[in-house]
Amino acid sequence: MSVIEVLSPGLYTTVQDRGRTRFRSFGIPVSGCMDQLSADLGNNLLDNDSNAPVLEITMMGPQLLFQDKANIVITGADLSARIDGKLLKTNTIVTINSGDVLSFGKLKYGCRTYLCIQNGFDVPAHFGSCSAYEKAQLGLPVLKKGMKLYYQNNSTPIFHQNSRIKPSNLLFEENTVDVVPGPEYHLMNEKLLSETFEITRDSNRMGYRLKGVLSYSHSGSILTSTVMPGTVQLPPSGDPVVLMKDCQTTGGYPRILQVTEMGINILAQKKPGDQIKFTLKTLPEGRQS
Amino acid sequence: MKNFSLTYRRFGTAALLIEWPQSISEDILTDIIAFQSAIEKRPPAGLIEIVPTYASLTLFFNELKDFQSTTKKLNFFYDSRISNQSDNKRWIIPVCYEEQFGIDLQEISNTLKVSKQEIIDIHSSQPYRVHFIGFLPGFLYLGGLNSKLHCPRRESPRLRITKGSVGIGGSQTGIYPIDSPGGWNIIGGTPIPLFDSSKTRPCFVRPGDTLKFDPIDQLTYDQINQEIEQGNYAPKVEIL
Repeated sequence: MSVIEVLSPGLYTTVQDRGRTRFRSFGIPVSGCMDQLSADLGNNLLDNDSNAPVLEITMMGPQLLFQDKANIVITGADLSARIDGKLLKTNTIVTINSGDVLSFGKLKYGCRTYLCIQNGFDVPAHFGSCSAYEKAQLGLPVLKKGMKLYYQNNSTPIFHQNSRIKPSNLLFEENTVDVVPGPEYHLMNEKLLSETFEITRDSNRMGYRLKGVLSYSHSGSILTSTVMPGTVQLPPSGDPVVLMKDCQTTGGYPRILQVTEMGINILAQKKPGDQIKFTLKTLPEGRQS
Repeated sequence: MKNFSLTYRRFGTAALLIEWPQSISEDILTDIIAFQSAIEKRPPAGLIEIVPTYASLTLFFNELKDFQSTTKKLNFFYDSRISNQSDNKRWIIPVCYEEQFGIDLQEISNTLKVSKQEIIDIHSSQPYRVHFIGFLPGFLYLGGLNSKLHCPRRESPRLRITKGSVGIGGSQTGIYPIDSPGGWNIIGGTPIPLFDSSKTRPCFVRPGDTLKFDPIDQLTYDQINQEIEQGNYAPKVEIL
């Protein structure tokens, strides 16, 4: 097994895969990559399993010492990745040599960078997933200085050695997020759909708190019911919360909208201070009683 | 069984939400469990999992292609459901209400004007029905807290409530299954792990089961804790 030593952890760096479904009825969040699309691009290029664990890096990158060779792809946000001071190409396969230090610098665009490695990171799985969920100590803890990351370094040649992926501009340039009506759509003031919201500092892997210009405060309440990543809750205060990958499985606030999967990827690349708008799409079929 | 009027609707692009009349009741709970097991017997194609709450079932699919025909099939299952209340268990959960655990007991005794002993007696005298698990891994939504013990949440939540803490928040009582921030009034602590990530089935309690709290002293708490650490403790079930 090959080893990467964490020289410094960055702001919030975790190992994630596609997350754990099938355990929501025990109250276990789904977790997984916030921007699954970017992680998929990297894993595809490396011919990895689509569920191969990757490193999710948030706004400030770690410093990683590779004690062995490795084939990697860096996707998602541009965090000025460097090897020994030299800028590294992103969205293409890069071979790291034994003794190299991978570091990150200025955030040029986006919010979350993915470090994908050939064969994926070797991490203990809980409930069928290697995704970190800190609260219940599932997966590997959030990266800390001195921690070691393991991977299988086989020298199988890579099919896509020279290919490069063109990441979707949509992810980084788009500020409209597609939504469909949520179960309590009727409790929402439709003006909310023309509002420009700012992503507040109080935003993380559990949820994004939004702040608009108008007040959407209301007195509607619901009996605690199911929520999922992408659910837009409207607490009585009127500031919407978009639930993200580490969200709880049930909640008691009206679920006014549901962000599409692509919308979650777009949101995952937005950081506090960025602005977004919702675009309402209709569901393929209406409601039925 | 009594037939409820159910509502089916899409929830996002790949989930289906089934809703009962929106209230907390044992009849609805029994009906939800019966419907869930009828669906589990012959799961529709692409079904990943089913999540129950007070008055709903959410069916998560890989992809929900044909909403109309899926709901039609589900309606048929609903008519074929059978109540299986005999599977429900009553678990005895030992709780130490002494000061080192019941850190808010004195305060809520003052607020409610009910003596500490009376709070303990009321809290541990009746069984609580488990409606579903949510909010945190292993957090049980319990019904039936005596209205004499209803007490508003603390004005400012604590940053860390230790695993096993038993609390009252509004009209609910419950147990913190993992360390977590929280605003409930803490009246005791149990050594029993309600969430165990080392097990393939992380919670031994199921929706429909009931819990009864059994007051214990610190010495018994420590003994049980030791037995749990040595792997010699099995949660106790009362035969009904």
